[in-house]
Amino acid sequence: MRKIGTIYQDFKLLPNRTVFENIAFALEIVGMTSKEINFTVPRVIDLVGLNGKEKNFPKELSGGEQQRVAIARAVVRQPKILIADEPTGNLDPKHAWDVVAVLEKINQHGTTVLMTTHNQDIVKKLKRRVITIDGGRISNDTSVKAGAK
Amino acid sequence: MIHLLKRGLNSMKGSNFKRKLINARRVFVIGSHSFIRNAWLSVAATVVMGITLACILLTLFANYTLTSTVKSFTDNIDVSIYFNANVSKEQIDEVSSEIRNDTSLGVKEVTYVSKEEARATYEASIKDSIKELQSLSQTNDDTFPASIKVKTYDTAKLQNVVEITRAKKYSKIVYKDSYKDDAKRVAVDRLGNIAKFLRNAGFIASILFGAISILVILNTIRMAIFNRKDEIEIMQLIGASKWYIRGPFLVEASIYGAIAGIFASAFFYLLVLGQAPKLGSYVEEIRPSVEKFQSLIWMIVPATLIIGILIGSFSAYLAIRKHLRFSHSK
Repeated sequence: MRKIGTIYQDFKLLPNRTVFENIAFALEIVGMTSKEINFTVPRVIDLVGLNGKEKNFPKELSGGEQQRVAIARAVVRQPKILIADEPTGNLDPKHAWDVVAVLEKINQHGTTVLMTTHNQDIVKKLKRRVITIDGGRISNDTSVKAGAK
Repeated sequence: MIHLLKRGLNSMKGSNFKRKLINARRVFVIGSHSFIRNAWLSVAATVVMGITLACILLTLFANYTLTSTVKSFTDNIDVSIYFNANVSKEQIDEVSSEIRNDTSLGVKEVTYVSKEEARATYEASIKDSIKELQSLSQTNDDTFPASIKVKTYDTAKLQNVVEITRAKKYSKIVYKDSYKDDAKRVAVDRLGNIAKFLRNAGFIASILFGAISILVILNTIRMAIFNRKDEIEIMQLIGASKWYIRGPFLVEASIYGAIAGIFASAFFYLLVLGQAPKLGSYVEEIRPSVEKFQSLIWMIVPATLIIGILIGSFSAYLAIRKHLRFSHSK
């Protein structure tokens, strides 16, 4: 089973599938039965706070909601590491913080989250380990004890 | 929350084969949906493939009928060598042996007809004519010479046979032969050539339509891949295997082939074989061909379907190889 989940700046959702189907797709490709999918997906939807949006299509959702669908799809197979590539890049500040809150929640449950961002506000407020990369090289690496896993 | 997720995921531990079956079923469903979604393209591809398969079936039928027809004619082509009245059976056997043993002639049969048999055959043919029977009673045994009837696999070789019997060493025993450059033999040879030409034409037509089918399906699948490019990229990013992505296209193309096979078989059996006996009054050999093909329906229909599926899958495979690239292997 794939142990790394990924989310992207442009969400990469399947436009002709609903929220439920987008998340379920990650389980379909590994051969989960419909029963298992129907058990697991609603719980992940609840985890990312999208209850009531199961039957919506991506174009019917806000940017923050779409990113949360992408997060749900990435974590539904319980990866050990979640790589988030500029997850807030296309979002306004409010939705960006919604997404960051979801990532923190996932981290609290034991998944390592590796997030790339240019947003200095998020970096400062999260108070997590920060690795700064400049010209392809690590230029700085802080290790923050509080809340780090 | 996470413990509930773990419960769901832990249930996956177990049958890998079951998971693969589930995936195979899903691939089939996605391929079927794609077939329906691209309805017009699917119809076009299926029609072209159907024409190809119908062409193959018609070629087979025509080939079988023509071969039987030519065979029935050539089976009746022979040459009779008549011997003088005083020639002994041993001398006739010597001629028969020389002809039979010459492998270059391709002799099928050499039949000896004695004077008595020749007379009896003639008598049977004129049994309804009193006048001719009366004339026959005036003749003696020497009126009907002994003969040998020679049949060859290749009617052209009959000329070589008479060249042997017309040789000087047999001039005293051979009375005459029935060989002539006659219209019947020439007509049969011409029929044989026409049959060969039609067989080759049918074969070439089948190949041509087959190539066109492959190109049409290849293009249809290529368009389907192009239309779903973004979806395919996302599927790769999520971790779908190569065959989970490729499979639906193969299924879609196989469905073209299977449906085309059904239509081609229905066209052949209902229309062609259904109407063919009407031609039986002109070409007798059509009836046995129709019966033969009807008796083999249990084999021909599945074979047509399988050929259709193979052509479809092969075309899709070519399209996938060329247009569906993967940035990673799994």
